[in-house]
Amino acid sequence: MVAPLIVFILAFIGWPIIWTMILSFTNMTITGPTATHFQFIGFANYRQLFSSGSGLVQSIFLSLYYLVASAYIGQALFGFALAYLMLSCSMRVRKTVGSIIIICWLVPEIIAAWMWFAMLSDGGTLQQGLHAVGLPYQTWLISHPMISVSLANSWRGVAFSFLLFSAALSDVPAELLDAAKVDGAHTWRRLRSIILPLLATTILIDFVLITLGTLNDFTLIFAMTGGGPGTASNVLSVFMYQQAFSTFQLAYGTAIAVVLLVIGAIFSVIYIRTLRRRGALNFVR
Amino acid sequence: MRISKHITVVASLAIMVSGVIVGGFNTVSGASATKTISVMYWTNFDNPGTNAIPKLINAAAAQLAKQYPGAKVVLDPITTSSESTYYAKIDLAQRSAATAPDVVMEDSFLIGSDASAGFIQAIPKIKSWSGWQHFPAAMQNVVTYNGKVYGVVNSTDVQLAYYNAKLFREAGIAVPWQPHSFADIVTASKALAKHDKGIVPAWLYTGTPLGEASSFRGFEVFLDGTNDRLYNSATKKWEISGPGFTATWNFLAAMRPYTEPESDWSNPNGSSTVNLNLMPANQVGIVFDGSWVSTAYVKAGPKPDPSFFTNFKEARFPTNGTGGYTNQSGGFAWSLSSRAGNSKLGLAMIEDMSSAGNIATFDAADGNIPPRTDATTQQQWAAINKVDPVLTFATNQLAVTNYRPNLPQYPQISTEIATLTGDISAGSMTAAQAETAFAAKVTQIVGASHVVRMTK
Repeated sequence: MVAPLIVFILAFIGWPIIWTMILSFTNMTITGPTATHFQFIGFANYRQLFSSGSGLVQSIFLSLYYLVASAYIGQALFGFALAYLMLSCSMRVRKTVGSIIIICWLVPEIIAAWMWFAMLSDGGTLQQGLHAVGLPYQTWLISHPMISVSLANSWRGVAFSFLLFSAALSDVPAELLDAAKVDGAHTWRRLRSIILPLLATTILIDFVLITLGTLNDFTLIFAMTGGGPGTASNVLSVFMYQQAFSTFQLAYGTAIAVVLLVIGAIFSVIYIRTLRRRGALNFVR
Repeated sequence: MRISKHITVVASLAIMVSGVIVGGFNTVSGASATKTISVMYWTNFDNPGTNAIPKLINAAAAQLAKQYPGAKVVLDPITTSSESTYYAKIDLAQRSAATAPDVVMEDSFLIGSDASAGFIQAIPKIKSWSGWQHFPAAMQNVVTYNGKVYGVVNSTDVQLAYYNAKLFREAGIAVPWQPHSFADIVTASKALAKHDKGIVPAWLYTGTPLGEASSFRGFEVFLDGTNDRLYNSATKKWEISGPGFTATWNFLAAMRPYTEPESDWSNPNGSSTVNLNLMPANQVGIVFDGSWVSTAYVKAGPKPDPSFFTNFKEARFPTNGTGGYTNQSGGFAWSLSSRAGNSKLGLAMIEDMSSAGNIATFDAADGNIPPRTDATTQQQWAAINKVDPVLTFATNQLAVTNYRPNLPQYPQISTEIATLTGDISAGSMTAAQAETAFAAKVTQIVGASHVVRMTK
């Protein structure tokens, strides 16, 4: 049973990683003589990438900003708040709100990007609406590009965290909460001392999945801002694409991909180790 | 188990890599049956609604079928969000026989680069084709790399300074206007800005989102107005600094307060914004753009508007005070892929698409200047010149035009120029910093032994 699994992993999962790493040590380009006759150039791509003015530091910062703002705050925190507040709502409200949130999730990413672009761009829906009531609007896609893309990603991705937390909250024993209430525990205390500890594993699993999804996100940002204005929303994935396919430095782009890979791996290892300590992930002994 | 731990980590990595890598590699279906050839082209090249390229291909395909009974041509259209994406797509497609077309539409500045990559093949037999002699030496040179011909040009252009005569008069600037130096352009832009703060005084292509246009008509055509050049073909050296470079970088910095806002130049569709929105609405004073712009506004064009021709007039590109005028030309070409399934048919198709009649029809529809001399005597070309006098004015500029270095290093250097123009426009670099950065980047790309600093 193990042999086919290893072959599968090496062929379909391991090879893209290995090939990406190999390319990052070459001078392969999209066009020009090195497009087909590339050479190994050691760490030259990495030296260039980690030299001042390469744009890497800014891109890492923007990727982390996007992760915290759109994944941890916009999706996890807001998703949890929605799921928690819905506990005390009527079934009709829960069904209506739940359906709306899930519809946001079902919208394909490129369409979601276009909808948000149409809303926030110069002359867009938001500007028209505010103009109608006499309020000024400074084009957010230009003045606040990172907030704009973070909002859009939160809108699109909150359903996943919401569903995960809704399912976990329904498993919290009602008698436990009732007993705490009888003992005089207020809402905040019940949340802090009972609900959050019981949901810790769910929260970590949510973090693992939304972290990887958000760090790798490309479509939404590229379609809404193209990484701009200037480089104001040039997260790592867009930075990588631009270097590889717009400036034709394919190998340099793969070096950026490797940096992205390492950052994602660091987050993954931290979360997976924490989960294992909590006894979750039984398949990892 | 430690192996299990590692598998978990590898799985996490793989999820990321698959997301990272898959986005870049699209494939395009090719057709390489013996008598069926494919032609890959960029749909964005056409004026909206004209479908000039598909019409050209279909017309040539019909002629090809008469020469070679049973021959069929499959259209392989590529639509992208930017020029550079098209360049990347055709190059990626040509890496494999499964996706490579037989004939591909190449931007002429990529001919040397794609030839050196081995993506397109030399077509020496084209010299014995009867039509070849009708292409002037300049048009033959732009598709020649290392002494071999790699394509046939289907269109060329020049750059013009379109100015809004109505806004100029209102701003107190004498019309007709013809600048004779960079300072004249700055002075007019300043007057326009002072007259109406709601307009864009001058549209100058800048920054990476607008791609090659920012380098080509946002920097190089102005540099051509000085004594410096990007590349000196006599000494075979790249010029990286000099009085001309200083003047050009300073000019871009001086224009910064008067050019379009970042919201416009950071949009890859900025050319549509200026050509189809700002110009007809009289919201822009000067536009430095290609000679095809006016064709959209003729009676049979995609956006008929007679007022365009009364409001907008054209000026030549000035030298920077040294007298006379300058210009820079580009153009696209048809090339034969190295992985063509049927090179013979592919070459015949290129010849058919490049006949005087087909080129005249195609360039008249898209507002280009025909690259072969006998196409300009065709009835189609005469007809479009009657309704679009800008084309006649533009064709006359070919006498002073320049062409980009047809070398493999050019695309990367061009990208660096576009980046630096954007840095100046964004205010993140001064002219002096851009000049220093340009010299360093070019030296890094071509090597210190291939560059020269000009002193006069």
